[in-house]
Amino acid sequence: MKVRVRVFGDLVPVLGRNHIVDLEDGETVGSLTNRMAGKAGLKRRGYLGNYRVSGGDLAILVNGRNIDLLEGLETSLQDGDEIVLMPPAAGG
Amino acid sequence: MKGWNGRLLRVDMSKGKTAVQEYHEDLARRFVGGRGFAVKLLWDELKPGTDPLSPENILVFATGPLTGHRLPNSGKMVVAAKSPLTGGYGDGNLGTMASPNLRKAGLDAIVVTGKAEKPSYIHIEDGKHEVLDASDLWGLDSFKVEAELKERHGRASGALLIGPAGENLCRVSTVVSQEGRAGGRPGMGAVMGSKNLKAVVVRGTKGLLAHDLDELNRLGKLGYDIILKKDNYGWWKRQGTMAILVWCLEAGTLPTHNFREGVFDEAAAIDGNTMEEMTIKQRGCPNCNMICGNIVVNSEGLESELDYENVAMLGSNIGVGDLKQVATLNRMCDELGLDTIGAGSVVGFAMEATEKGLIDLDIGWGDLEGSKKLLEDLAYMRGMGATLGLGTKAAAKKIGGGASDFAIHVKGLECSAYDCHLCPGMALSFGTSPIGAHHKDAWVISWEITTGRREFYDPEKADKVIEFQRIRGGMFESLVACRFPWIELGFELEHYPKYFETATGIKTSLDELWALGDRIYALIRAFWVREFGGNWYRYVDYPPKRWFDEPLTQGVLKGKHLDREGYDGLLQAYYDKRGWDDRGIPTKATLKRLNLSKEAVELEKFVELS
Repeated sequence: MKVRVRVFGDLVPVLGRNHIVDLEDGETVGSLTNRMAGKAGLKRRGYLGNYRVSGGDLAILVNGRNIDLLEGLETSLQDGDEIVLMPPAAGG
Repeated sequence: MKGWNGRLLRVDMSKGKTAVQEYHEDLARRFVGGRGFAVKLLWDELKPGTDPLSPENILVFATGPLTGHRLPNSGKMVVAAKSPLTGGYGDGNLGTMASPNLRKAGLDAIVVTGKAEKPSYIHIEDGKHEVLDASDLWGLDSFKVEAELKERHGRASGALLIGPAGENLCRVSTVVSQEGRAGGRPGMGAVMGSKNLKAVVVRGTKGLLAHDLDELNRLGKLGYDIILKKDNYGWWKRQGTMAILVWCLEAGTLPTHNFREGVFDEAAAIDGNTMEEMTIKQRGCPNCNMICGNIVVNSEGLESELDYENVAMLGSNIGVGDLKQVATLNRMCDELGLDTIGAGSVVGFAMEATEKGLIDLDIGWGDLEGSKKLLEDLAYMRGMGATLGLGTKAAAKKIGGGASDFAIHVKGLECSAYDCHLCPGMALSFGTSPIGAHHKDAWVISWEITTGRREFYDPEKADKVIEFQRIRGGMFESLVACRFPWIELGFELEHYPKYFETATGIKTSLDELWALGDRIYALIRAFWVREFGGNWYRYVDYPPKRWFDEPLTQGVLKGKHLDREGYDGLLQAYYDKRGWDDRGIPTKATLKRLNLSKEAVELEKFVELS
């Protein structure tokens, strides 16, 4: 299955902006972020750039819903899902 | 008393007289500077019920003990008065060369009263203070008048100015400096205009004093280096505050069509990525190495300094999906001395009122020419602009026909650029902001969304709002320093007590600075209550009706809206934690705890305290 990933803020220089990622059936948000970290050559376990993947540093939305309101990193992904990786925002 | 100059300049515009006053140490000890100074001076000296546009109103320009030192982002000052837009306490801050110059002229603040017979400006040059004729400057836009004043008084001087909007008493007018830096959203430009005060020009050449100046300079240098090494500094330099536009779009909080929606179809054409391709140079405040102003060329070939607030309010909020056009409207606001946020809200309100047939204007969503004309009419208070220039709250009341339902403000101050149909915490920030709906004091939206809590009304949100208000609205506004190194790059808060101690020789801690914030908040609240008397009640702290009653119809948040009961519970939690009663008024015990017992006695003359 394929999911679309959109990256924002200062993660863009680290991961790139827009991705279509091939996943096996039954994969989760956690396995997706691991794949993306691996593809970008990131060595630090559990992190994307400077942000911890779990723990509130980074907002991860699946089809517009924050994964904290779903199953967290265990949230299952379906073909066609859109995932947003959103670091804390600057601007205010 | 080290760290402060200990002197403020009093200017009586009616008599054209100036006088230097040594102020009491208590002012510095209890209120530190900036906003703290302003609210204390207004509390002590402004007669309750004063018409904000009368000569009796008091206009304060105030710096703090960090202002002007070579410390991170210390080039700002606070401008404050009773607001003609809200009828309550009004202030704002702006980065300006006038800040370091004022301190180097041996002053910490300027307090202006009265009304000059003819257009005038205040000129300060070290020990020389005078009120000069500004007849030839009246009517000029803020860019031209600054250029002229720098020609007269030297390029190293700093200037605080109004454009035609302030002159004509438009209530959504600010104080402007340096072609695009502005502060004082609650009509501070109109207060200057009401005093026939076109500008304040300041030049100071003395060295700044501090308890340990060498150490302060060393700490400052270290601070600048730390900022440069922050992980996201490079990203910040690319887009500054504009990076948040895409974030707001994804989160469904981008104000669109007068806050009817939180998503905008043409957002990609006005976002940070588009701006990056257009940016020709960057500009910042004095003593800053973050440089948040991105300059682009607008649709008329002129330079315009953009940031998120003005792009969202003059872009998506009024349906303009072309960044060059947004930049044109933005530059007009800066020249005219209009508040970009307030003006964007008023234009959006006017577009909706026209659509609904409540007013007869030739304007529609996304209409550049109609918007340009309306901005001019606002600034000159002519035609429909004379009504709309009173701000959305007062204009809606005059227009009638249900217009108040889509006037997007709190206490009369238009909301800044965050739609809160599903952000109860940010709605509480707007509701309890000390000047009306402004994001400066408690920008909790990022925390609220990234931690996945946006649908909840848990009391923890009230804690977060208070925590932010203490840091942003209390500490930074009084020291005076810009909050951006901390909020945007994670520059550690622990630097600031150290800066304060080294500047003043007075030991402090973050906890003491939070207590200062609470004291200032309580006194600002007391100021509002004294003005409103028996008319003060908790619903004054409610966000706009639209967010409760009109669910979003587009995007991932379709169908979402704020819940009244939930919000009221959150508000009560906020009052409880602050030690304020059910009306949102500080209790006697709270005022005593905050070392405001004398002020409590005064407040009791106007309202019974719990």
